[in-house]
Amino acid sequence: MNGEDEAGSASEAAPRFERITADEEFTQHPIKVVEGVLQSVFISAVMVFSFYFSIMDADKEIAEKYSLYISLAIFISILGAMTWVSYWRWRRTTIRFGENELTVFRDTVFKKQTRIAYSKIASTNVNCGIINRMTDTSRLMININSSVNAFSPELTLTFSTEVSDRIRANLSQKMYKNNVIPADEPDTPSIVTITKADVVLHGLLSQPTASAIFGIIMFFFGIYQMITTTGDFVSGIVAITLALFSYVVPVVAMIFHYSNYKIYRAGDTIYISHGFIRTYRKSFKVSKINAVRIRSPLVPRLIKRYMLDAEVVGLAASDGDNSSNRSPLLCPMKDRGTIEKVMSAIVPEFVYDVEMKNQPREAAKPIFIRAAIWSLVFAAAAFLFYDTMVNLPETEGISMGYIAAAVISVSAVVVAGLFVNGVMSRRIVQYGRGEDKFTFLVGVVDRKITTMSFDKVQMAEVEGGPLSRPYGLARCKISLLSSIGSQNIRSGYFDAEELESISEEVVARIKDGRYDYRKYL
Amino acid sequence: MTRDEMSNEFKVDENGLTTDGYHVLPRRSVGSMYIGNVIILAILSAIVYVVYAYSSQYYEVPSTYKLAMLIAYALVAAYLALGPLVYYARYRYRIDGDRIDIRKGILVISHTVVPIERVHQLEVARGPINNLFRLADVTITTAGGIASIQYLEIPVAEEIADSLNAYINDILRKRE
Repeated sequence: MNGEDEAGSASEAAPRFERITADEEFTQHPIKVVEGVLQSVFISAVMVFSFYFSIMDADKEIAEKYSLYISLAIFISILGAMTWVSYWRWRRTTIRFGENELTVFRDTVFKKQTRIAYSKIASTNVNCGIINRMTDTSRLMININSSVNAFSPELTLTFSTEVSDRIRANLSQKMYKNNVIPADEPDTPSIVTITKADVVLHGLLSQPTASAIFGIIMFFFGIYQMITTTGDFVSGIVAITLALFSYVVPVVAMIFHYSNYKIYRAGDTIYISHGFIRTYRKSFKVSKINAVRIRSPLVPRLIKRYMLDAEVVGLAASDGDNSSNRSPLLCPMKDRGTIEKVMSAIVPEFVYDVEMKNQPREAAKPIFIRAAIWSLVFAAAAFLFYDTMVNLPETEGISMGYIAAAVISVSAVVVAGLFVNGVMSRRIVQYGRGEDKFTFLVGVVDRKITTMSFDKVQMAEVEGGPLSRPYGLARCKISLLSSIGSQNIRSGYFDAEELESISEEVVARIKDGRYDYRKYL
Repeated sequence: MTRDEMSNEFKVDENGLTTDGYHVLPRRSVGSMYIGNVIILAILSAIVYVVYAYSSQYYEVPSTYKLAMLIAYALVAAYLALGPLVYYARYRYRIDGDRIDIRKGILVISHTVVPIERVHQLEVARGPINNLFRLADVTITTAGGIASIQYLEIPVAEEIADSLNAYINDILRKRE
């Protein structure tokens, strides 16, 4: 841990960027034209390529003479048209920063005026791809506090890095209504030191256990297929490709995504920057955080490693951000002590003393009855599978003894897994409640400890099934506004009345004024 | 909540309200649910028949498969046949000054609470079946998800949407 003091005093620093006046008008960097064209080049190329082959098939004589020229002419025409459209849109788009809102005006055939009130902006992020880095530009992404468009930013504007930083600093000043432009200093030290090894470990271990197991099984199955099958490598290649896409690609993407990770807090704003090839700089107000989550899949937990992320709406930092990267990571894989220190330094609003309760003793009954029902369903499916294998003509000559042994072994493992999961779940799943926050701990395999504020709960649903109702137990589903639009967080089995009291508290806080909407603007 | 309390929550007085002031659905909502379920069952039957007929062309479907399919089909059909009656008997909703409460379910009973302060959007929707029975659904959108009060009489649905809308506008006016 370092830099806490520096981060704390950063908001007091003198403004580094010139203030934007109301009559100042901005135009995006010309590289925006190239970005616009590049986005459509690939699709145009694929379309023209398929057109080329279709006319080749249609008539050989014409195809031999003209198909290449026709295709090239079409491609160049499309490219020319796209360049003109992109140029025209760039030339005719202006941005103004008024007293209370920013306005983007596009004066083309399709006229468009976008107004965004500063008070509605959830975050301003900067994203630099390869082209941006070559041209010293960056893409400024502005997100509003809405689940409707949570997957992509409301505005993506390309400026030179200097202009982009100046606008972002000025926006922060307007959004947070303080007289000092909040610091976004490249030299501000990170609250937590994240080494390259930490990032690699995070990439390798932060994948959900299920996808990691699937990837590993597919990889070895693919290798086995390629060794044992002579001449036919298709199934082996398919299995290895599945392994690549389910585990290897996400791991590599994650390592690149979180390289050079840095986080600090200045005043009420959290600043995060990371990225190797494409760089990301995100900033958001602490009051926009709906929940904070400590996560630990199975393998990292065995080596006592955890990660910390937050649910914040309107944080899209890239047009093609994948869903797993949307919740801002507050700390990559670290030991529990470091995670708790980072939590205290970055989001002390979500740190509170709480006595966590295990699921009551009666919860064992619905848990085990559910396990028994699922075991029966699985056993029935296994029997049907065995029965099919016995009756298939292709399996003649294969010893049914092996198949029966495999089916029985897999069934036994699954059934044992279901019951072990039940035993562990009774012991692990917890619920805790404080004055203005509450916490759900779930996950026997991939553990999640989610701390939520009552003031951020949008909807609460208490569900009691036929197995839990007789014991007065229920499960709770909390709906929050989140970075992926909306998200439900489920509890384990607890006393139904106790879970009902969550929504009672949410309503009571609104009613008696403890919930103050101005705190979250 | 004890077992007795849990069963009492569904009892209705002569005014059509539960002891804690919940409303029940109109009786004709059962008809709407049944027509919907009949359509689902018809589609399901067609799918089962097509899958069975198609598979039979290529190989002798084992008797265990036929039995499994028949059991699954019978369970779904029984659920669709009995579901509307249970759903109707258990469906309760209540709207007071601060919250919208909805209790519903067939096997799993859920109790949803939406603080009115969190409501972003209201919608009254009528599908062709509900239209036939002069019923409508009120869909309540919050920033974190959607809740709906289903099978309401049209004037009741309109009134709920109007009153909630007025309440929300009032909150927003006070904040300006």
